[in-house]
Amino acid sequence: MFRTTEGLSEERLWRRVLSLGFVLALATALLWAPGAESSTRTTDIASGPTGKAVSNQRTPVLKVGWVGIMPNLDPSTAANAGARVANGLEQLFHIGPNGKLVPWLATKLTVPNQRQYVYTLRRGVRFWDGAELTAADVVASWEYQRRPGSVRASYFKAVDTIRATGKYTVVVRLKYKDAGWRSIPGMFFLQISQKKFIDANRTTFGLPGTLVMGTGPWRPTSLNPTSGAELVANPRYWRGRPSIDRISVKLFSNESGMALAVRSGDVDLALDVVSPTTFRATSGVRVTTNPTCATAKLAIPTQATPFNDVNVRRAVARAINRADIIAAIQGSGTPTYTLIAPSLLASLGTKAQVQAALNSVPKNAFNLTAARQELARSAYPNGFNVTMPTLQQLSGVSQVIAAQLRRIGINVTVDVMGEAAFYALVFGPADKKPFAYVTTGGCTPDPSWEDEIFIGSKAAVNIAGYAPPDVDRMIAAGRATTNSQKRLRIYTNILKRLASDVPYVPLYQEGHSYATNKFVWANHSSFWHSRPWPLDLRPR
Amino acid sequence: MSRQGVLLYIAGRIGALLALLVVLSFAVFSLLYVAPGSAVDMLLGTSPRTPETISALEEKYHLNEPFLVQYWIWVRDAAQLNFGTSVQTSLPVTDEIKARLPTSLYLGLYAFVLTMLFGIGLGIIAALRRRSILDRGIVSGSIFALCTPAFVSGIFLLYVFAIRVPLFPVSGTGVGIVDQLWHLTLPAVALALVGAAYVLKHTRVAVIGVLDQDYVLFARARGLSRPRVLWRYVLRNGLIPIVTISGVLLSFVITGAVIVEVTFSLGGIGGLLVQSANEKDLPMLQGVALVIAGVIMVANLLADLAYMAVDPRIRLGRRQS
Repeated sequence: MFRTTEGLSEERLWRRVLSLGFVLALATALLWAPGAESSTRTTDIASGPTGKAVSNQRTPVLKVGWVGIMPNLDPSTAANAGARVANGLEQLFHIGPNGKLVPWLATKLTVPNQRQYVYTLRRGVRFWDGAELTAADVVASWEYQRRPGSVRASYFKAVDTIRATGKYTVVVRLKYKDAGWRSIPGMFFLQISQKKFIDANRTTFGLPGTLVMGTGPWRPTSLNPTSGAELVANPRYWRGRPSIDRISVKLFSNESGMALAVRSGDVDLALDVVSPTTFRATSGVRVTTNPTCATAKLAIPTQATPFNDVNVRRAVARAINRADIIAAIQGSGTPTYTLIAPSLLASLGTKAQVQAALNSVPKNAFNLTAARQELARSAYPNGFNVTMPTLQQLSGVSQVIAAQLRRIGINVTVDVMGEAAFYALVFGPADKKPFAYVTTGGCTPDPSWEDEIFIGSKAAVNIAGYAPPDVDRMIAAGRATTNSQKRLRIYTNILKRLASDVPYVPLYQEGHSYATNKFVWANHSSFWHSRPWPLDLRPR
Repeated sequence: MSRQGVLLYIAGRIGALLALLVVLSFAVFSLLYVAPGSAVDMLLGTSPRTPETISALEEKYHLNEPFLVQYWIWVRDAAQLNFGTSVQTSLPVTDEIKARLPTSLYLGLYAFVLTMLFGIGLGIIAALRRRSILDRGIVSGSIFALCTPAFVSGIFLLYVFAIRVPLFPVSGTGVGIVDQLWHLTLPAVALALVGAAYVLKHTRVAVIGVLDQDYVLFARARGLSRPRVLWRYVLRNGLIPIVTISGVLLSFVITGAVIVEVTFSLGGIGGLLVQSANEKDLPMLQGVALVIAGVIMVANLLADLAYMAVDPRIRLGRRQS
């Protein structure tokens, strides 16, 4: 069939040439494919046994699992939730489980007046390249993080100047009195890097290939945005050589994959577990959940119809059954009725005083009859239709809320969208703010945390568009004083006002969950990310 | 077709590929303006909307220039593999693609080899043993594999061969050729199952059709050995339709493996495409779409060349007429 009397050898030749070419192309492609690490360079640092060990029990490698992408290690850019897991940087203070500042890279904080904060640095702390930490590095790091375009710039809104007044002294001057500033330097996003390094790598700081320069117990040596990061122990760490020689952070696209990896031993500790029950069942390991001071809430846009009607907002609040929501998040939260977490008020008085203050705030507890009565008093007694934008990871709870509101005649359509579209609404104009369920994931230990982000004219996001002038005055008064009793009165009044106006429906105190059978995590709290958290791990 | 003719054919196909890429690039670039919402909102992503950020964006993406000027600037940069920066991660699009494409290529080629190996091999066995218990068993197995979605088979393989009997790792891509081979075996098998079943059924039908042909009978009558009859006569003719669909299969396993990538937590190009579409990350979407289009076109070109190698009637067609 294929044989002809002419060109037989030529036909055979070209058949063989084409076949060979095809096979060679295939083989070359198979052999050529560089490893998954092709976008990074690994530079091993000698981590020989020099320096003082923090713990006697050595762990050669800690394998950490985390769900998400990790495009960079820069705490000042967006999409950097993974940075706190793997960037190895430190702050001037860390925040203890009781919310108090604990000296870290700074040994002392002096507040000569409420607009000036003087930080005295610890001497002898060295960066990974051996250079000593000085005040110039702190100034450069904070100026970098408050630059235009930084997602952390809003935390510096009260700051006027940041100056190095000596080799180990940093002075921050505020534009106005702000008690909230005190705890900001303890948060993970105000980490300290080296001035020389920042200046030389301003546009690539934290990116794969450049990484960061810090003082922490582990130094990142490689970053691959899709597969993870590697860190090695810092033999010159100022607290002594850490007991974990190497940390390998592996990234997963979903919790099921991470759970299987934990089960098979590929991962020792899984961080930020969202569905504890499911994770426990799949992985077979212990999942620990501890409450945080972050409040998950339902944001109600007060400047847009129909939610500009306070009776509508009150109806929504009374229709929410928190028990169902807690079930939807598999128990990784505790119901709450106040926007400011009770734990954030704990430092403002005795236990009895704080409890009395909280008891005086109306609860807006679940009551369908009351909800229907509120709606009947509103301009929409027969209910209305509304769309509820949400992210994929929040859609479960959003559906629960939608089902609850349907019972009183508010027909909610849950619209799942990508992050870019969702945050365009969140950060967008006041009349287009979304009616949405939001979680915050983090908090400072100061009661001003919620007005930092969510209420008042100076809030970073203020999804509800809630900024009555008298509330603004209360917020300013709460920040302007450090007198605990006065602050307790002010924040109690703010909470009472929020309970009446209902710009947000507080749902639950968010919990933070991790899973491991191999380690005990001492001091795990709301503020686990404010210090190099693997220091708190001990092999079980 | 002479040597020159073949070369001209290949050159013509490459030229057509480039022309198609240009047309596709125009469509992909136009996405920015066709998509709902303003181009500025698309490109801002989660960044705050201030006059400064908008002004910087307009300058960076030449948004104040006429559409065709913007397209020319963009395609000129794209020709140098510069697709801008990702809205979501701020990383260069090219770097993100370079980080993921090797994994997808390796996984895709591995899955392709398994697809063809098992699909053709089992298809031939089923055809040679038609109507036997073995044939029935193979066909039943292929129907089962065809009906099993990749994420189901992936999770099953993970549970059996990574958890219960830990022969393979649960996740990751590995480093180095051998390590990658080990890491990507389960994902490749999960990806190859459906394709192999498809190839198996087509191979079986094609080979059965050829086995009954006169020239095969004649070759046997001439006393040629069974392997020679099988290789030179049966397979050469029976595999022509298989070669035709191999291009489609190859491009599918490279670019369409998103489900397997998510199941095994592999950072591949399929996952990147879905992620950038979900996040409306236009620069990333444009870059990934062009790269995927290029991969599909090259895969089809290779399939056509293989088709020519297998069937000289294609090459000799002109001369004969």
